[in-house]
Parts: sequence; structure tokens; C-alpha cells
Amino acid sequence: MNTSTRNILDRSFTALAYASLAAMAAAVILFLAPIVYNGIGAVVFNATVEHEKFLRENLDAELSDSQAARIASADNARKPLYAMMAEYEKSAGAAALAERLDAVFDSSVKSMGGYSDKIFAALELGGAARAEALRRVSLDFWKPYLDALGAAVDKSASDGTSIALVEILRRQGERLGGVSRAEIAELSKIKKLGFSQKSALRRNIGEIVSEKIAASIERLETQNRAYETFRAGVAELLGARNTAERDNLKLMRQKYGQTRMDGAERVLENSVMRIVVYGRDSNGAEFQRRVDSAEYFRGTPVEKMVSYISENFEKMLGAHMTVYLGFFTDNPYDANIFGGIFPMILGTFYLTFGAMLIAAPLGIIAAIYFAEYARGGKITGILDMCVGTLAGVPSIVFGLFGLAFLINTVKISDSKSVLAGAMTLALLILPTIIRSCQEALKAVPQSYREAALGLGAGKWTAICTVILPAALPSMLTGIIISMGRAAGETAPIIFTAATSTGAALALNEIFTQATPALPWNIYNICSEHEMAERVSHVQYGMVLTLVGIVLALNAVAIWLRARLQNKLKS
Amino acid sequence: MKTGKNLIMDVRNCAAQAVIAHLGRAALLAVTVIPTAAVVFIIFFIAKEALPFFENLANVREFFTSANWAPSRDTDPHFGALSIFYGTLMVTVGSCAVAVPLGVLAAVCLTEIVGRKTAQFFKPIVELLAAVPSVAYGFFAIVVFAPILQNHGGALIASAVFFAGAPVAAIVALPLVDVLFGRFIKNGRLRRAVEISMSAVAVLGVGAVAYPLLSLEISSGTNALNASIILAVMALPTIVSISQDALSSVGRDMREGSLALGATRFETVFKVLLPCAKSGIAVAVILGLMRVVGETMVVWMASGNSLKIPEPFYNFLEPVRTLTATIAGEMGEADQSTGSARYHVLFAMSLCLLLGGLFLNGIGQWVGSGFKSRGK
Repeated sequence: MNTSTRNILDRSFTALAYASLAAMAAAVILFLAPIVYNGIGAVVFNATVEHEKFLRENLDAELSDSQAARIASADNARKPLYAMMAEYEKSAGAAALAERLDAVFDSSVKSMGGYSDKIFAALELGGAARAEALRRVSLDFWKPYLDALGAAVDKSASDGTSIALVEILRRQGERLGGVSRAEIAELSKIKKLGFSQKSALRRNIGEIVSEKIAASIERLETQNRAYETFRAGVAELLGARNTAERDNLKLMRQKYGQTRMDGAERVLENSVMRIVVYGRDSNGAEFQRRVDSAEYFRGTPVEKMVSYISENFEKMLGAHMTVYLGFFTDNPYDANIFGGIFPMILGTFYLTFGAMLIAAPLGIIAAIYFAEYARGGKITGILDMCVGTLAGVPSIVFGLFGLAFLINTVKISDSKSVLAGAMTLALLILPTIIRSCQEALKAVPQSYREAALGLGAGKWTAICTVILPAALPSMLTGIIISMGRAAGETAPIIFTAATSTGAALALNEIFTQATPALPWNIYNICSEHEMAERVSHVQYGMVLTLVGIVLALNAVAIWLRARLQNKLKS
Repeated sequence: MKTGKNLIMDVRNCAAQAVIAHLGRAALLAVTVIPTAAVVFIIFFIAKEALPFFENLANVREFFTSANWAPSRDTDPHFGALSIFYGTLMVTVGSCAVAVPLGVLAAVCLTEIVGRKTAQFFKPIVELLAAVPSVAYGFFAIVVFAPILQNHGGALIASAVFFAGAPVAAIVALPLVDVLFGRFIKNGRLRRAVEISMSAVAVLGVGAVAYPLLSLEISSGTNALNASIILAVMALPTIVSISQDALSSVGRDMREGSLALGATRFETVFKVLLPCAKSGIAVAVILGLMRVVGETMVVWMASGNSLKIPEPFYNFLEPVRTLTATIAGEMGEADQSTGSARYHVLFAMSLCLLLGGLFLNGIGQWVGSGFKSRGK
């Protein structure tokens, strides 16, 4: 091959190799950047007053004066909206409207008396002709009421009376039965009626009205349903309107509105400014579509509410930056939508330290045996090989083993428990600990041993007083790194220790109870949560906490190792 | 001056010490046996729970040959795990295809090309990649990477193919030109021109392959590709650090000899170092492979958990399902139903997984022992 080609090849290979390093560094940055950025967002974020309300009412947080003032001003900003909504839902025009409609209804009923002759004539007919004639007669005397009703329905949207009108119409619909009974009694006084005549009267005299009422109610309810959707959106954004309403609601997510501005903006966009409305197509099948609220409610009082919300959005929520350190120390509420992640952190802590307390002594002892006592030979070879084999067992198999052996066979606890999980994790990290302790012991210079023995120390004394202290920092490095691994492992604890929901455990419960733990809850919250969007900050916060714990442990180990190297050099 | 009594005390003490020493040794040995006992117990208990499933031969045949998986149905359950085995194979192959070249190249770069300082700087990065918990990788795969892959997958894959493929193609084109035309074109400039144009053609060729990928539509971001890439990142630190050990254990004399004979660094790496370190690198690859096969959370979260064998079989954009993900996903529900058919079939799966792991581990130790003894 030509020399220059070889040189080019050499250089481009060098470039490619650098590129691989760059790719690795890029992988670290691409992975860590979103997790760190969004994870910090779980603690430092643009909060709304709902966040402080939640803290005050559930976690007994003391609010500063400025916070209380902010809540008050936000409540003030909400007042006009709630007034508008209250007026719309129970509109002032409703009473007058009810009076008017009732009056027309009554006069229609009264006018019935003047139609007795026509009714009797119709009753003389038979079968379908009788029903048809009765219908025609009733149309005559109900006409003023039907006209008034039609007008009321047409105007209801712009008057903001559609909710009240439904109530009025329901009430009047219920009165119809009484009306036809009274009419039958009235007519019976004039002339004796047969059974079939009575039933025809009962059926037909109010039929036309009840049909009209049913149709009107359906039309009004389509209108009202859109308003309901809008109102639900507002409730999702702002929470309960007042304390009384709040006490009646069960779920936290209904009691309080959006605690974070990012969430609030999403709700404003998706559930308030744009809503889903229902309609019927030509075949009568229901369909839904997403519409612009301002557009849809144009010309009605609701339009004013929409524009009020969009204008006073920030004021109503009292947006402000906050640091919520309680994220690490508070219990979660309502499927992690509110509160912190304390039980998961505590569970991880229990599992990690439990595993370490079990595995570290065993690992150190085994390493001492391998490094100081074992004299080669077949048995040592087999024992040593098994350490390697144990390191090669997939972590999920450890979990199954924990389930089949520790829980189902030995029954160290009735079902999952921290103890079972810690023991499983201890087995998992045992080989790593043994290996690193072995390395540490090997690194102790032979002269230390000889000197100790030469001074008359026994082997055991030499190990305890000279070799172990010399190897300890290096051993500690391995043990700490293993702790990091135990903290992050998920598969072994799925079947042995982890539960997705649950409170923080007291120390005496760890022998019998399952615990939430960061790794498992991270899986759970991003794969099986019903409202993943609302807890996205918690997801990132949990991941950052876990990664932070693991990396901090590793950093401590690296620092220890570096110190050790310096010491050995000097 | 020693009295007789003292002497007796001394002898007694000595005897006592000897007894204590022996007891102590025995105690140490007892603890040391724990890992061995654990291995035996693990194999025993997994096999014990798997056995009820394997007792039925029809089950066994279905298990390995059918893709019909419905273990929890009360009537007519099916235990065909073929698609699950295939999914495991797929993500393993996929992640190795990414991680092995990248990892070995990075190891070569760290030991042979960059200085000690840069290598020291990269050491914590490699350790960081190794230390990150798998569930965090899984989280990244499902929350960050999957939406990107789903929405901009075509552009992403096309640019990845182009930027990884183009340099490789250009580098391959160079010696090819030399081998093909070297004899005929003696003029240096002309040859250079041909080389450059051939490299350009190669790059354009890669571009032509990558371009249609731009319009690729990916129906779901959680698929075999996603899992493979994330698993590759997870296997990378293992491969890099063990390959680094293997490469740096090759003696200086080999390197210097090769360079002294006039070989370029590229030739030294490919013709001397890699062949010398091949068993160590094989161990690195096997350990990386074990991490990939045994990994649970990433594949559970990122692979899409579909029971279909992708169509066509090499389609990495389809969701797949792996052994570990199946065990984790279904055993969680089977928790109460200890002893049910599903419980046993999941243990059968984990037995396969365990035996596979032990097999790989055995190969690794065997190859590794060869590498160690030669190192000495």
C-alpha cells in the first residue's frame, strides 16, 4: 500500500477513535442534561398559590406573610370569576323567567276549560282518530305556552338561563300528570267518561307538551354540557371554589388546582381555552370535537368568563418561583400528584444499608479467607469460581430466587419485606464486594505481613491489626460502589421488597413490611401512572434523586481512592 | 526463669490458640462457602420451580417452537415463548452491534491514542455510565428517547446512519482504491485524485442509503431499536474498561517492535494489538453481553412488550419483548398465584436465562483464564 494512503488511513482512524470518545461523552451529557434540568424542576419551580394552600392545609406548613398575602390576592382575583359562574348557574333572570313561564303554563291550563266541548267531541271518535283529534285540541290551548317555551329556549344561551331553564322545564314536566288528572276530574263532573276515554285523555292531553319539553331539555343540556366541561376545566385549574366545597371533595386533585405554572398553562390551553363538546351527526350518533371556548360560547355570559380567565390567569394563580425542599421529606398525596417522595427515599435507604450490613461483613471475611488463608487447590478453585458465577447471575433471577427461597420456602416474612429484599440485594452485591476486598488485600505489601509476623503476632492478630487497617480504605471504596449498585437495582426487589404505594416504614416494620423504593416507583410512575402528565416533574425528581444518590456514593468512592493513591505515592 | 507451672500454662495457651486458630479458619471457610451455596441454591430453587412446567413434554415443545403466549388464561392456556426468545436475541444482537465497535474503538483510543491526562479524564465518565441505575436508563428510554424517536425517528436514524457510515465508508474506500488501482496508476497526483473521488463516491453512497430513511415513519417510540441503543450505552462501560485492561496488558515490546518496523499506529492496532488482546476483548464482549441479556428494567420499559415476531425479522422499529421483561411483568401479577401454571412457566424462563448466563460466564472465565495465564 502507498505510504500516503497509509498515513491518511492512520489519521482517519485516529479521528474515528476520537469520535467514539466524543460519542461516549455525548451520551453522558444527553442522558444527564434532561434528567438534571427537569429533576431540579421538581424542587425549584414556578409555583401557584394552590401549592401553598396544599402545604398549609395538609402538611401544617407555616406560611409567611407574603405567601398569605399572595393567597388572598389570588382569591380576590378569582372572586369576579366565581361570581360570574354563580350568577350563570343560578341566574337572576331565572326567577322572573320561572314566574313568566309558570304564568303562561297556568293560563294555558285554565284555558282548557273553554275547550270542553271540543274535547268531548274528540272523545266520541274511536282509535287513532280520537288521539289525533285530542292532539289537535291540546295544541290549540297549549299554544301560548309552547310559544313562550320556544322563545325562552332560543334566548337561553344569550341570557345565561339555560341551566335554570332545565330545572323549570323539569318541574313543569312533572306538573303535567297532575294537570291531566285534574282535567279528567273536571270533565267527569260534566259527563261520565268511560275507562278508555279516561286513558286516552291521560295519554294525549299533555303529550305534546312533554314532547316539546323533552326536546328542549336535550337541546339545553347539550349547551349545558359544554359549560360543565368548561367548569370542570376551571376546577382542574383552580381547585375547589371555597373551603366548604373543598371539604366535600374526596381526591386531592379535586380539592386543589394546579400547583405548578407549567401544569396550569397546560390545563388552561387544553381544558379551559379549548374544550371538548359533544354533538349528534345526521344519523343521531354522538361525536365529540375540540373547539375554541371563546368561539363556542360567543354571545353568551360564558364568553366573558373565558376572556376573564385568559386576562387574569397569572393573578388568579399567584405565580411565583419557589423552592420546595419538602419534595425530599414529605409524603406523597393522591398518587404522587402532590407532596414529596420521602417514603421512597427511606425505602431505598433501608434496602441499601440492609444489603450493605449483610454483605459487607460476609464479603470481607470471604476475601480474607481467599487472600490470606486459601492455599490454592481444587476446593479454593471451586469456591473462587462460584464467586464469579454468582456475579454472572442475571439480577431478575436473584429476584425470583428471593421469592422462591426466602419468601416461599424459608418464609422469613409472610410476603414481601424489606428484610427479604435486603438479603436478596446482599447476595447480588456479595461477589463484587468479595472481589474488591480481595484486590484490596492483595495490594497490601507482603512486607507488612512479614513485619507483623516477625514481631511475634499471630496470623489473626496480623490480619486484624496490620493488614485490615492497611486495606480498609480500598475495601471501603469497593463496598461503597456496591452500595450504589444496590440502591439502583430494581429487578431483585420487584418480587421481594417493593410496593408501589405505601407509607414510610418505621424501623421495626422492616422485618415484615414491603416498602416503596425509588427504583421501583420510578418504573411505576412512568409506566403505570394514570395521569403521567401531571406527575412528570415527580418522575424526573425521583430519577434525579436516585441518580444523585448513586453518583454521590460513587463520587465518595472515587474520592477515597484518589486519597489512597496520593497516600501510597507519598 | 520459667517455672514448670508457667511452661504448662504456655503449652495450654499454645494449644488453645491452635484450637482457636483452627476454629477461626473454619468459621472463615464457612462464610466463604456462602457464595458457592448461593449459586447451588439459586440453581436448585429455580430448577425446582421450573420443573413442574418441564414435566409436560407438550409444554416444552410449545415453549420453544410456538409464539402463542397466553399463560394466564384459565381455559386452554398457551406457553409459546418463541417470540420472547427472539426478542431477547434481537435486542442483544442490536445492542452488541452498537456497543462492541464503539467500545473497542473507545478503548483503543483511551490506551493508544490520547495521553494519560485525557484518559484520566474519561475514566470517571466511563464509571458514571456504569454506575447509573438501569431504571434511570429505562426512564430515559421511555420518557425522553421514545418520544424523540417517534416524532423525529426518520431524521434521527438517517443522520445516525450518515454520520457513522460516511467516515467508515470513506476509510474503507481508500485501501480499496489502493488495492484495485494501485498497480495501474503510478502517478501520485492522479492516484490521490482517484482516491478522493472514490471516497466521495462512498460518502455519497452512504448518503443515498440514508436519504430515504429521512421519511421513515415510526409508529411507536418504544421498540427494539430504542432498547438496543440504551442497552448498548449500558454495556459500553463494561466493554471499554475491560478492553482497556486487555490492551494495556499487551507488552510495550510488541508496540515498539511494530512501530519500529515502520507500521503506522493504525496498522499496529489492527495487526498487533488487537490480535494480542483478543481474548481479553472477547471477555469484555461476553461480559457486556451478559449485562445486556440479564438486564430487566430497560427492556421492560423501552422495548414495547409486544408478543409479535417483527415483520420482517430484522425490523428493529417494531416493539418486541424479552425474557427478563416477561418475568418482571408477569410475575408481579402472579405474586399471589404462587404455584400456578404461569408461575412455573416464568421460572422455566428464568432457568433458561440462568443457564444462558452461566454458559456465557463459563466461556468468559475459560477465555479469561487463557488470557490471564498468557499475560503472565
